[in-house]
Amino acid sequence: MGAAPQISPNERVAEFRKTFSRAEAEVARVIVGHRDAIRKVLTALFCGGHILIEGVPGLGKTLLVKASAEALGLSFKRIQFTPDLMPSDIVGTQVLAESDGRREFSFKAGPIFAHVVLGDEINRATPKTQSAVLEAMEERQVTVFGTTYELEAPFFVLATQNPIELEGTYPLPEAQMDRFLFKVVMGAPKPDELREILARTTGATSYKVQSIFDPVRAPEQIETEKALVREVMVGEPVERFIIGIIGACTPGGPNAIPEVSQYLRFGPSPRGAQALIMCAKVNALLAGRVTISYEDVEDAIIPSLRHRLLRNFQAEAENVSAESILEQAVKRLKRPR
Amino acid sequence: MVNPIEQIGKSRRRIARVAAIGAAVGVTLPIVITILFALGLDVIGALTWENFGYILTDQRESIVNNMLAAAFAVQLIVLALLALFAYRKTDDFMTTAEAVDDYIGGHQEILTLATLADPTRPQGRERRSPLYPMLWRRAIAYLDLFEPRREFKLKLAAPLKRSAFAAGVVIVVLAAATLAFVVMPTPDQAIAHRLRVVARALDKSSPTPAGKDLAKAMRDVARDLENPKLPPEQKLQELAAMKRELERSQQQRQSGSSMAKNSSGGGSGSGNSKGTDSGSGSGAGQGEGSGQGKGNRSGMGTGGTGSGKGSKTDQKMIQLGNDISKAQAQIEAEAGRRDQTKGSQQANNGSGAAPKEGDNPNATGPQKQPNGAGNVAMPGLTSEARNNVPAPSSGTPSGRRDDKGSMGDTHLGDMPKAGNYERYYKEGEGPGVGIHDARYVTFRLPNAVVGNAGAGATVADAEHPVAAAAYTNAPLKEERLADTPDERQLVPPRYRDLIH
Repeated sequence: MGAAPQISPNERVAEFRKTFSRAEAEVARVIVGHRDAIRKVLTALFCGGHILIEGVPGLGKTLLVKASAEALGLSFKRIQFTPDLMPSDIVGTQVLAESDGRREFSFKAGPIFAHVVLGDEINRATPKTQSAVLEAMEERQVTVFGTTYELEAPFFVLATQNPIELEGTYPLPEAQMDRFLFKVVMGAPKPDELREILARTTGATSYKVQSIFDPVRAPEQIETEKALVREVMVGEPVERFIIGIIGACTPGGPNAIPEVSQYLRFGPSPRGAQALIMCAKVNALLAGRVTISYEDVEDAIIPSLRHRLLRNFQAEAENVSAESILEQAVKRLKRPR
Repeated sequence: MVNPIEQIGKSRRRIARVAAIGAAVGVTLPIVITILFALGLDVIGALTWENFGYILTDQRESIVNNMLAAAFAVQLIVLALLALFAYRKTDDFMTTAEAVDDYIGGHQEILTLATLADPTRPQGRERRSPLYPMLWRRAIAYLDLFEPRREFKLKLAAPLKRSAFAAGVVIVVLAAATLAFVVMPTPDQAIAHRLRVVARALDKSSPTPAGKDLAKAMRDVARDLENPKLPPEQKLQELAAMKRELERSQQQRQSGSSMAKNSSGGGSGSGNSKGTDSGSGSGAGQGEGSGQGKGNRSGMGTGGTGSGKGSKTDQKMIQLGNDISKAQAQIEAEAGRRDQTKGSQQANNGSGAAPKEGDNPNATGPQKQPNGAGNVAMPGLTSEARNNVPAPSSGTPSGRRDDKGSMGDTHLGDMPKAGNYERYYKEGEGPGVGIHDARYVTFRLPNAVVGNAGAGATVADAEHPVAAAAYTNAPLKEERLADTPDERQLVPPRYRDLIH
């Protein structure tokens, strides 16, 4: 077996852009509209982060996740979260099995053991169950009866939650929300998009997503692309800009903008800054660059930080959204000179 | 192939220079305005004097000049500091990289390259990734055709706009400062200023030592006139001397121009007229001008002498003679007023206290008035009214019947008396007089012709009237009391019998 041919950075970047475009196109075959949601899902996947998708039922959240996994040739599992769902239902458990006349416990892996895991309506499960998933998301491993099991890379969780019918739900705690790289909000389709959806889903022609990778080599190739994302360079002024954004959104901080001080209880954590940079890096690669720009960062601010801002009672009473506060912060914050 | 780091370095120096020049240009117009103002201060002073009657005295002019010099120095310092600060502020590798990035639309690629390749920051090298070569090549592609001198041009529009605004402020400040320093001249200052103007004109037009001496004398007199420590009498004497000097100079010039006229016969030459200004009148036929016009002042017809600059100076000198006469009278009047004020103070024992009840410093007779007006200032009389006031009788010096005051009528105190009723110079006072100063002469026709009828003969008039008191025909003193009444009242009945 000879050494792998050394490819240039230019070729690596070009390959990334090609892969990403093809994946986007494949997902778009079954998802009409929601281009931004598709891009953010794929971005999170190449960043190695998890994503929280929020939207009313019937918008195609589950389909989006499934299509993304299929497009990348990754294994996919779906977990429907309900109040009676137990952690062992997710991570697996030891079962007593008999073989060759001997009885012994063997590990029965749960649905968490997949490349892409869809946690549907995650806010309907109890905090105990939620925390099992969230631990897996962070540690990329599960522990059952004292035995730790590594989750195969790439491991990617897409959780959905329904903003209506909140009775009997368990909203995710802020600390756990922070573990999602992005929060994507899916809105209702436009009339043209709805017409297209109807045409595709009610006609005789069925649309299927084709994997852009060989399923055997897909995990390896995705890991390669993830490594490329991390190699994108960040200039010091851009870093200062990102730090400035985090500072502006931190209530009580010296650089907090007035809206933040007025409407927020807590601001973004360092994970927020990490999410900003990772998303900006993917944006830079998609633009053919190997350094991130201010525009790349600005494009990543809302999906990366909107679920990390904890609003106070006044903000909820006045219906001030986290997005509007972030927009104010971006407006007020000047790029460093 | 360009080296991006070198290109950024070149751009850095270029941007710093452009910034320094721009900052300096921003202060240039105010400096130019200050210089022009300093150079044109004489012109401004002359215009102010001619159009508005205000002058900038020598002392104040020197203050303004010092002020302008200080402003010039401050502006130079500000220019240097601004240029230095602008240079140092922009002389930064990262700032330049950002500027280049903005200019070429590099989306912070040049900036990031600079952070990773800045020679002064070795820690940047540790942050390089395997993608760095690609960044380097992209930077080369960006900067291949980049020429700092062409891309970062010196744009003067904005600095000049700022400079114009600052110049406007400077103009306003300087104009206000100058207005604060010009003054309405006193007679002394006015004549001193005129003397200086004529002296300057003489300096310019007269190369002869006599002209220079006259100009110097004028300056000396001007300086003395402005000296508040000198008594008015000395100023008057100097003015009189200067007037005589001017007259003599004019006569000399006239005679000189006459000689020139007679000797040249035409005077239409193209020479200069400076000889005529000095009054030396060499008679060599030097003359300037067209041979007609202003030379008429010599009374020699249409001779060409003394025209042009010489004429202007002469006119100024004639005007100056008239002004000196006026100034003499004004100074004299001023001195008289001062004397009168002093005398009045002396009548109050020099204490300066308010008059006591019933005391009138102008009155000579007994004047205690129990019901007097006290220290109420009494209205004075005009000169016309004063003429109508009957003279006090010899028996009652104060001109009053009794000494019982105003009998309760507080409107009237003692009858005011003219402060200066001696309007004529006594013998030995005043300027020297001649027959032309006579206001009137007295003569008497003889009662009868003595000798042969019709033959006519000189008759000795032994009976001509002779003045009882010594007097001269000196001009009247011009001083008057500023005693315009504040109000007019009917004369009370009990005083009416005093009025005949």
